[in-house]
Amino acid sequence: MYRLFSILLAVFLVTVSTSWPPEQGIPDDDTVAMIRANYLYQFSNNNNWPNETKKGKFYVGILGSPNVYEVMSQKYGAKPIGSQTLDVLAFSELPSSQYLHILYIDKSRKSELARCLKELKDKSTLVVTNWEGALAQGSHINFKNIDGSIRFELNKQAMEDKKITPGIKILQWAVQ
Amino acid sequence: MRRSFIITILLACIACLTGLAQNPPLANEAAKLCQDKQYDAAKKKIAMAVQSPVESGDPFTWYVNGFIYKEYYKQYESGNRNSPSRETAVESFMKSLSLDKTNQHTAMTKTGLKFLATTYYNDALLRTREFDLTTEKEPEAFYNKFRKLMHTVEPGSSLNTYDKEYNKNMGQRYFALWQLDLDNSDLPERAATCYSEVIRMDSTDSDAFYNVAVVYYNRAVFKYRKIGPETDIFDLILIQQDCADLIKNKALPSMQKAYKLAPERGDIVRGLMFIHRALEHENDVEYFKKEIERLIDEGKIKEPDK
Repeated sequence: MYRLFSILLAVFLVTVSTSWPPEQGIPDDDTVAMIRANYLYQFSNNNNWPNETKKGKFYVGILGSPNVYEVMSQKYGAKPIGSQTLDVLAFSELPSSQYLHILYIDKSRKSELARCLKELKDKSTLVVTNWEGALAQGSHINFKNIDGSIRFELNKQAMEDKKITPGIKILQWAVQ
Repeated sequence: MRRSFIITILLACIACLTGLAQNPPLANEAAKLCQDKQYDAAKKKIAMAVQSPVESGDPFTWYVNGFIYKEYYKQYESGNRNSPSRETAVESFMKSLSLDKTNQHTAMTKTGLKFLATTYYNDALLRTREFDLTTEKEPEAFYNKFRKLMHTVEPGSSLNTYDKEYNKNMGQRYFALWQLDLDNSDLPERAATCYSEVIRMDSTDSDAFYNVAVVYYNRAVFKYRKIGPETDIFDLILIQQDCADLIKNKALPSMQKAYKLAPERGDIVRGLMFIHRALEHENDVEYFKKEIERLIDEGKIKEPDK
C-alpha cells in the first residue's frame, strides 16, 4: 500500500545567540599606589621617631600623588601608630607650619625635593621618594621597581641624622 | 557590547515517501497519525511496530519512531533539557541508521538527528550561562551529545566554531562565578583554561587573548586589594612577587597578543595601559594613554565613564 508521508524539518542550527562579547573588564585600581601606601604605613610603624614627636597625631604628608593619598587615607587613616593615630595629608605645596613625620614626594614633584629638604632641615621628617638617584639627592628612603615588584632603598645615616631610628624590619628588607 | 549572530539556518526538508509497498504497515500508519498531529496515537501505533518481529528490523520503523518522538519533544518537551522523548528520538534515529544498509532513509534520518543535535547545543549554551559548581558538568554533557551527533550526521566536518563558542561561554561563566567567590583560586584558572582552549583552536581570537590577560591581571589586583594594615612587610613582598609573575609573565604577553590582533580596540589598549602602569613602565603608559586619546579623537572608541 502506497502512503504519502511528508516530512517538514526545520533545522535550527543555532537558536541561542552565538555572540559573545568580552564583558570581562580590567579594574582601574592603581596597584602601585596600593603598594606604596602600604610601605608608608610600614615605615610609620617600623621606624622610631624621637620622643618629642610622639604627641598628637602621626602625620604623613603626600606631595604629588593623589592615588597614594587616596589609598593611604582610606586604608590606613586613623590607624594607631604606637600611641598616636595616623593622619594623612595631601599637599600641593609643603606647608611650613605643619610638622610631618613622613613626607612622600612623588616623582612628578621631584623638582621640589631640594626645597623640601631645606624646609625640613631641623625637623625629624622622613623623606620618601620614588625616582632613580633620589637618595643621593637627600631622600631617606626611595622606592625602586625590581622585576615588577616595588622595593625600597634607604640611607640609614641620613635617617639617623634626623633622629629617626630605622626598625629592624625596614633594615632587613631594604635593598642595597 | 559587540553582538553578532549566527543566523539561524532553516532547512526545510520535504520528503515524500510514496508508501512503497514493502514499507511496514504499522509504521506507515504511525507516520500518518504523526502527520495529523495525533502524537499519542502515533506513539501507540509505532510501539506496536517496534515490538513486531516483522517490522522491528526495518530501518523505516525506527526512523518513524525517532520522528514521532522528535515531534513530541518539539511539541511538549522542548523546554525540558532532560526530555526522555528526545533521548528516545536519538536512539531510534541511530538504530535506523545502523539498520539502513541501502541508505534508503539515511538522509532524512540525519536531518532529524541534526535537529536534535542543535537542541543539545542550545541546551549546552544555556547551561553555560547558569551553572554553578554543583552543576558545572551539565553543559559539557549536553555539548558532548551535540558533538557525538554531529560527527554522525556530518563526519569529518569541523566543529571549531561551536567548540570556540562553548569554551568562551564556559570561561565567561567561570569568570562570573569567580566574581562571587574571589577567594576561590580554581575558578580563574578554569576560566583561563577555557580561553586558552579557544586560543588553541584559533590563534587569531583577540577576545580570548584579552580575556586570558584579564583573568591574570584581575587575580593580581584582587590580591593587592587584600593588602592592608594587617599585612606584614614580608607578606607585602611575597604578594608582590606573586602578582608580578601574574602581571608580567601571564597578563602582559596575552594582552600584547590581543593588541597585535586588534590594535584599535579600546578595552585592549586600556588593558595594556593598566598592565604597564602596574609594572611601572612609564614610557609604555604614556604611549597607550596617547593611543587612547587618539582613538577617542578619531571617534573609534568612547571616552570611559568617569
